[in-house]
Amino acid sequence: MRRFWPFTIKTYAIVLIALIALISGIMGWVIQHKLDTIKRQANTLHADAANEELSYSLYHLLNDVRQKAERLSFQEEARQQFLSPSYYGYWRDNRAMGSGSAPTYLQAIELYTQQGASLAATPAKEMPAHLSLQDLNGFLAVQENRDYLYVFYPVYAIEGNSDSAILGYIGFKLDFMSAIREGQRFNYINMSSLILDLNGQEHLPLSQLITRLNYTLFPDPESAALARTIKAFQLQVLLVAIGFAVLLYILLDTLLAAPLHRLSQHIDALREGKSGLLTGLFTRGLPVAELEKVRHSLNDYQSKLEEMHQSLNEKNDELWLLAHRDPLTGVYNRRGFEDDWQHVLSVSGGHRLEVAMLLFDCDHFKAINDTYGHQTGDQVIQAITHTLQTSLRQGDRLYRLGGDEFATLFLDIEADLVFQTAQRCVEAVSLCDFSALGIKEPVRISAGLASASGSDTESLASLPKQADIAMYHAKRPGKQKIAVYDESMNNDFGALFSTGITHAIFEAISKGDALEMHYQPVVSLSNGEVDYYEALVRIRDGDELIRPASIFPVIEARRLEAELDLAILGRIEKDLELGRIPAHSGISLNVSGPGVISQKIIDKILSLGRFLEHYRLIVEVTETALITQIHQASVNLNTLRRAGFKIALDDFGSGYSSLGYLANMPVDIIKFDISMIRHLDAGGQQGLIVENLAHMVVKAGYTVVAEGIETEATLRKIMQSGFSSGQGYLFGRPAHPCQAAVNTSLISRKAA
Amino acid sequence: MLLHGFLQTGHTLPISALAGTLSDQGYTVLVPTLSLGINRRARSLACEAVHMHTKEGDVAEIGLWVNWLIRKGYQNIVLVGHSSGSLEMLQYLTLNPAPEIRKAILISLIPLRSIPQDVQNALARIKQGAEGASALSRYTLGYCNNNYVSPPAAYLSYAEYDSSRTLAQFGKARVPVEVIMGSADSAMAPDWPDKIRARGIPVAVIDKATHFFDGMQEFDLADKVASILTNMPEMSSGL
Repeated sequence: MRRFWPFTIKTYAIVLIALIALISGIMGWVIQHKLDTIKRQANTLHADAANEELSYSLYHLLNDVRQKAERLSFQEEARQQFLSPSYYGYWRDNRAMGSGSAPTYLQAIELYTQQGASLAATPAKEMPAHLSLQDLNGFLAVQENRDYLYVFYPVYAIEGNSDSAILGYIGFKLDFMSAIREGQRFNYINMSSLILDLNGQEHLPLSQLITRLNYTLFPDPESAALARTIKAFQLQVLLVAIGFAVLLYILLDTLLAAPLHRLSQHIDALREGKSGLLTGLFTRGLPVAELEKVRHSLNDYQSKLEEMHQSLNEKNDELWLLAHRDPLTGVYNRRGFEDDWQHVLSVSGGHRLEVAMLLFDCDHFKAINDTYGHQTGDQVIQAITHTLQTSLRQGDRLYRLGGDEFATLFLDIEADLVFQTAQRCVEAVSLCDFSALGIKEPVRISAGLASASGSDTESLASLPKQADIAMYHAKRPGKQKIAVYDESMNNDFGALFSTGITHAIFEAISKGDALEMHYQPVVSLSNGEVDYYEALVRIRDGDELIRPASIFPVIEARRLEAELDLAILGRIEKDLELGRIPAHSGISLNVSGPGVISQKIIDKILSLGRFLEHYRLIVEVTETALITQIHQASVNLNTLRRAGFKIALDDFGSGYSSLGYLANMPVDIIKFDISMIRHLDAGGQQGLIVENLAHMVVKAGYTVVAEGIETEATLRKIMQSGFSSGQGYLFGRPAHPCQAAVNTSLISRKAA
Repeated sequence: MLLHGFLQTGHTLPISALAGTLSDQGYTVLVPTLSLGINRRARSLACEAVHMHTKEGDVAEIGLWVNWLIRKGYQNIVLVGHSSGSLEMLQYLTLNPAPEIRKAILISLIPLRSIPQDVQNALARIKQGAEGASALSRYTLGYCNNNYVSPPAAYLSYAEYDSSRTLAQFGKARVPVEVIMGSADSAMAPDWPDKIRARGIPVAVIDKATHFFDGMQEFDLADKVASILTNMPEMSSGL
């Protein structure tokens, strides 16, 4: 039962109808019972009435016969028969019986004397010849299967005077059944069923007649009519009850169940959020005021809910936009990227669909930010965003992953086209004019590109990492600004994503113990003596040595340049203090772009000024570090110069190599990048340019250092080009502890 | 004394009405009913009843009633008869009537209708002996049309008195007789009043009157009878 609880209105309606049917049935049974009782009573009354009817009929018959006898006895002719019976037979047969007035049931008339003797010698039709005293009371007898009634009446001497002498007797013989039937109409007794229980020889006294009559009754018309009426009434009541039940059911269904079902559907629709589709169903009015009120309330509630829903949707959209859009640029943010990336993964996963990811990163953006302020930095980001958006295809989504890092995704596109797009973007940004923002140096972006097939789930999953690796590869000095990921990059940038290496780097920076400075001699090309040693950092990780190629990507990625600079300066300071550097030589300290503009670093460098008495101390900065933060860098570098430090511009020729910039840079030494040296070594037009550039720089008063001297031929070229100093494997690899330069004799010889 | 017609009683018209009228006029009126074979007869007798009575018996009963009157002291007696009652009174007058009888007024005196064949048959039966004489037969007599049940002798006692025998009786009557007839009496032959008159008997014919059974000319009849009585000198002192 509990399983079906609560019951539906239809169930209650059916139960109600069943109750009505039960009550109707009980009432019907009671009525039927009453009817049967009435019927029994009516049957009793009917039987009594029939009995009475029969008694009355007999009485009537006998009275009638008596009157006939009386009338006959009053006839003078009849009376004369007693006195003069000569023609009695004629009178009896013709005057008494043959007058035409005798009823048909009258079978015979006979006159008897005072003594009871028949006036006729032979009485007619079985009439008794002589009357006994018993006979005078009347009797019944059977003759030829017919019942006959014999009655006798006295004839008085004076008419109608019973006190007068008896003249004789008059006797009648009646066909009893005919007489009964003729005399009266019967309402209760079925006359065809009336029989007299009399045997052949019996003379039944009239007084016992009633006891020997058997009969059946007509059906009581009133009872039958009453029964029919009640039956008809019961049928009508039944039909009315059925009609009422059906009507009740229909009414309950129409007025309650169906509207409630509609309301229930409405509520379900509301719950399932389909109310909008079903509105048509719920706008129709309901026939019950209370339910109509509920429907109105529900509709009001629904419209309020829809308003709230719409408002929530709008808020959600706003929130989604806030959550997925970058407020500065308006493009999708990292969350948007993550969502889309997950979507791409789900869409392309398992399909032979080429997925490509392109990452952009603004070179030295932190330096720009620090130099020109955040507001300018933001404007740079906005300008880069705008440029990238206009360079991307219509429909390509641009994501700002953070700071100066952007990404875009490509589906089902050839790798060449992605590369061209990357090129277009990088070129467009490089051509962008940022001078309106007060930025003099060029703003560049690097791009890392990685692609994978959707069917290669593993590669697809590592696509962001691959693009990241490619991008950092692109950002490396001297590299193309666009790098397409290949597996070999994993080795170079393993450190970047190797937890062990990263941990070692962090440890080295925080404690300094693991930092190991390797010193490479920079030899004077005029006398072959070591001018100074370039201090190059390595990190000792157990037996392994982590090289800069692995260290700097991590440092740059973590923005730990200043911290590393400090740790390195501390290490060099220690080496100096411990006398690990040959006296009267020098040390060149590589300071990062962020380090150059860090007062803390500058202060640290300045603290090393105490060693200037015995060592030449050179601060090496890269061209890009200077360019991006030239103002503050210039201030700081000049401070250092004033303190006695020399400033070397490292990797000249790997970046912009603008002579215009060079003139404004507060540097003393120009270190030509290895690529420049190779151009020189290769000769040709590029070699000529490098040679003349070297001459020009020398003439401008700078000390010019060549990197990457590995062969004597290169040495010759260098020396011919007027370089002041040289550095390379030819003179010695970076070594720890510091070692003397080799092959310096070549210089002596050449110089000679 | 007033006597009823064929098979009637003293209570039937016109005798009953005439008796009332005459009684009212101061006459003593006796209206006997002939027994016709039935003791204390009070009702008319049906044609179909067994008629054992005879005309002679009837005349004898008239004599008995006349004597009864005389014994009562009445000296002036007028006999008034109607129809067959007139015939029977006429016959009485031919037989030695009492001297107290002063006059006879015979109304609708017409012989009883009979069929000669019936008469012949009755005569034949009588000749057959006792059985034939006692056998009942149906006859036509008066208004009884072939249903007058009677032994032959009793029948013949009435049927034998045809017109001629009746007319002959006028001559034998020993008392003055006056006859009153209805002009419209269908039982009467048109020349019948004249035939009577021819016997020297005064005949008064009441216009439009029939056999006086219907009472239509009851007052005319009464007036006529009263007139006859009034003109009798004996009656003025005999009242």
